[in-house]
This record gives sequence, C-alpha cells and structure tokens, in this order.
Amino acid sequence: MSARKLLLLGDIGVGKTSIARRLVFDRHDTGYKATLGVDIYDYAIADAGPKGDQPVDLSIWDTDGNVSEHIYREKHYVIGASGAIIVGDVTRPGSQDMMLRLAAMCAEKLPGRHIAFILNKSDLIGTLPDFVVPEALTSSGHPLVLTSAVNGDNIRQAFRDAASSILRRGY
Amino acid sequence: MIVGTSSIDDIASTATFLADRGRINAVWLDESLHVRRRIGSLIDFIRLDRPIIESVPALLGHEAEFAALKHDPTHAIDIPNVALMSRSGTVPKLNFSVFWRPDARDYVMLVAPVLATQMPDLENLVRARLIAEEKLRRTTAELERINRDLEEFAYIISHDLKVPLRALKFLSSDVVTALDGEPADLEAARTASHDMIAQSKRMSSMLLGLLEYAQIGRKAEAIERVDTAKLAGEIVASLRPDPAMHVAMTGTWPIADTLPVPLDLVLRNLVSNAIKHHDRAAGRIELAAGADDIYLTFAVIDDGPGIDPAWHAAVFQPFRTVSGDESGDPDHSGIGLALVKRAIESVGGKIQLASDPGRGRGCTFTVFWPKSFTKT
Repeated sequence: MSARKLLLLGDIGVGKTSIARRLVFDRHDTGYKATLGVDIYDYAIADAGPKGDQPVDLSIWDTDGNVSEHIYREKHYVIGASGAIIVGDVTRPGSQDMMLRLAAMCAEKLPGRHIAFILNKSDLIGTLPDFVVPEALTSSGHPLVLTSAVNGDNIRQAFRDAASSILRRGY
Repeated sequence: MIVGTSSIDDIASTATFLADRGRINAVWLDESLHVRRRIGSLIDFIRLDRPIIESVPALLGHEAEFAALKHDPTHAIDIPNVALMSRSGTVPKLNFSVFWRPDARDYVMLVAPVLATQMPDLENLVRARLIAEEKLRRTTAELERINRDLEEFAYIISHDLKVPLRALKFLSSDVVTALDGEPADLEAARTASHDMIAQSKRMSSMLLGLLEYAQIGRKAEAIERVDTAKLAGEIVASLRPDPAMHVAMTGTWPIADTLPVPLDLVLRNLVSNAIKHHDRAAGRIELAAGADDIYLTFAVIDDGPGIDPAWHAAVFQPFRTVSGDESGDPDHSGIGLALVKRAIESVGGKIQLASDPGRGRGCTFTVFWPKSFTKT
C-alpha cells in the first residue's frame, strides 16, 4: 500500500498541528509552539473508499503557517501531493480569507486533487454570538467541516473523507 | 574537508567521522531507491533493503526528480527542516539532501540535524565540495572533448580535405595538357573542367559539413514540447521516399519536453540515409519508438544492404563512407552520421548500430535520447 501525501495548509495559529496531533496521537496539547519547516505525520486509515473497505496510508504534511501562503515557492511541499486540507479559525475572519487564497493556489498547482476546508476551534463558536460560516467558503465547491482539536469533533471524519476522495480521484 | 574523492570508501570514512560527532549521517541508495547502507545513529529509523520512501515519506512524489538527478549530478533534492511523526515514534527535525554519484551509480542522502547544520553549516560544506568535484569532472571531460575535437579537425583538414585538393591539382594539369596539345584536345579539357567543378562542389560541401559539425552542441537550444510522432511523420513526408519504399512507424511515440532541433537533425539524417543507401527499388524502413527509465529510444531499421561490422565505428567519423569512395558524389559529404553521433552525445545520449547477421541484410540504428533536460 503506497502512502498518499496530504498537505495541511492554513494561516499561522489556526490549529493545523493540533489537528494532526489529535488525529494521530489522539491528544491535545495546550501549549502553543509554532511549526518551523514541516512535520510529517503518518496516519493509516483502514476503512476509506466509498464502501469503507479500502486501507490507505496518509502522509500528512503539517506546514509552517508562515510559509503556507507561499507554499508554491517551496516545490518539495507541493510535489507529489494527492490533496490539501486548508484550515481556518472560526474566531479569525482573516484566516478564512486566506483559506480562499490557498484554495485558489491549490486548484492551480494541484489540479484534480482533493481540496477541502476545515474551520477549526468549533468549540469556541458558543463565544461568538454573530458567527456564521462565510458564504464564500460554503459556495466554493470544496467540502467544509467544522472541527475542534480540543475535543476531536469531526477530525477523523474529515481525514477519512479526504482519503476516500483521494482514492476515488486516483491520485 | 575530508570528502575529497569519488571513492565510496573515502566518502564512507568521512561520513563515519561526521556521524560519530553527531553532525551528518549518510545513506546510500541504489538506483531503485532501496537503502543499501547507512552510517550514523540519527537514521536508525531508516530501514535497510527497503525503499527509502517507506522510511522517509518526505521524499514521496520526488521519483521524477531522482531520475533527473542522473542528468545533472550538480543538483540535489533538498528537503529541509522535516520532522517525522507516527504512533510508533517520532524523529526530530532533520535536513535531507540527496545527490546522484555518476561514478558509483548510486545516490547518497546526507541527513543532518537542523541545529547542527545551522551552526557550522557542515552539510552545506560537504555538499559544496561534492558539487565542486562534479563540476571539475565535467570541466575536465569538456576539455578532453575539445582536445579530441581539435585533433579530429586537424586530421580532417590535413587528410580528408587534401583529397579533393589533390584531385583539383591533377585535373588542372589535365586541362593544361589537353589545351597545350597539337591540336588541343578540347573534349578532354571540358571533361576535366567538369570534374574540377564537381571536386570544388564536394570540397565546399565538406567545409559546410565540417562547420555544421563544429557548431553542434555550442548553441543553447530551446526546450519545447514535441510530439515525436508528428516530428517523425513530417520528416518522412519531407524526404519523399519512393512509394515502393514502405516506411512504417511502430511502438509508442511520446510527447516530450525536449530539444526539437537536434532531435530533428538526428532522425532526419538516419531516415534519409536508410532511404538513400537502400540498394533495391522496393524495401521496408521501420521507425520504432519506446522508452526506458532514462531514455526515449528511437530506432531506424532498414532492410537495405547493411553495414559490415568492421565499419560500425568508422561510419560515425566525418567523411568516412562505407563504400570508401571519398571523391564521388559531390552532394554526399559523408558527414551525416558524424553529425548524428555528435548531436546525440551533445545532449547526453548515445547511439548504437547493429547488423542482423540472421537476415544477412539491413541494419538498425538505435538512438538513446535523454528523457529530461535541465533548462539553462
């Protein structure tokens, strides 16, 4: 079984590393430490595919938020990628604007590949009285899920969906 | 710096020295990217005799780049600042740098902890040394090639071009003798004059051919997307073979990012030769294409008279013709196959000539044309 490379992109501090660590180690670290370079997480899914019976190894590239927006300049990030999950923060509209820019860049650099949105920190939505998911994200054509690395909501499902989509697309 | 030779043992010795000090670890990979040797404790997570990709997923998707390194060993695949995380354990931040070593036909991957390389930058020094050695090797090879060219041109000028010159001298004597006779032999003078014109044409053709030969590989050619089937089809059409000469294209003809001008020269000369030197009115010429890991392959197979194996090396030298007739057809300079070989070698390819002893006729020219080129 060959591994599939999946990029985890997004503005600095949106929770990319927290999502990856929740997914792989099933834990949440409260301290924040910015990622420098790239951390590559190995995550095996046994039940991907439309029938939930296909195994796949994901090689998840947790990138430095500072370079996410310019990731196309670092060709070793993009090369061989089967898809990208673009992460934003429900509390930071600026990070959501960046999601759209990253999606446009991925559509150009990774044509035909899986591109999905994650709006992280959904556990904080209760503190945001006026929060609505931006229409620009819902109408983009890319799947979108709300996740929380704090309690793990929807994270495994988002990556299982990504794996199934990657298998379906054949990349 | 200790890495100073291309010997694997010397590089291994250097790698051990550095690895013992926690600086740089090294991994040797064979051409199929399996791990054959490793030095250093930082890389215990890299499994021997397994594909490197299994241990270092950061290299996922770089397969084409690995192949490209073989064509430009002065380059490296650099993946800096990578940590590897899995449930079975984590590996702290490392820099990976992979090179191709053409002399040993293997890859060396240098692995260095990020902090160590940020301070004395040893990895960059090792890398700079390896690159400098490769550039020196290339420069030396280029100088050797230029020296061979000079010797070859000196030989051509002193020997090959003397043949038509000598003929001109004798023919002009014939003209004088014919005109000085009592009575003057005008017919003999006319014949000798026509022969002089033919020899002049031949000499002019040889000089033009020599100029073209010298210029191959000196100009920067543009890389373009080339439909090789279309290119070959256009070449055949432009040569207008007799309808009785059946030209067939077989195999898989790729669309490639390549150098169209020298490729056109190569295929045009080979197909033209196959048509021109066929000794029968009806025959078959096959153009076959394919590919292996490194090369696109193009073969021109004919059922003509064939070439005696004794001539297989000589036919690629300027002005050497199988017939040995170096003063005949003024349009036939005898430089076509020399141009072909030089054009192929200037792009890093090679050509093979084979006869088919089973058939007793025909020959096959196979061109190994590099798959990838570095834009310069």
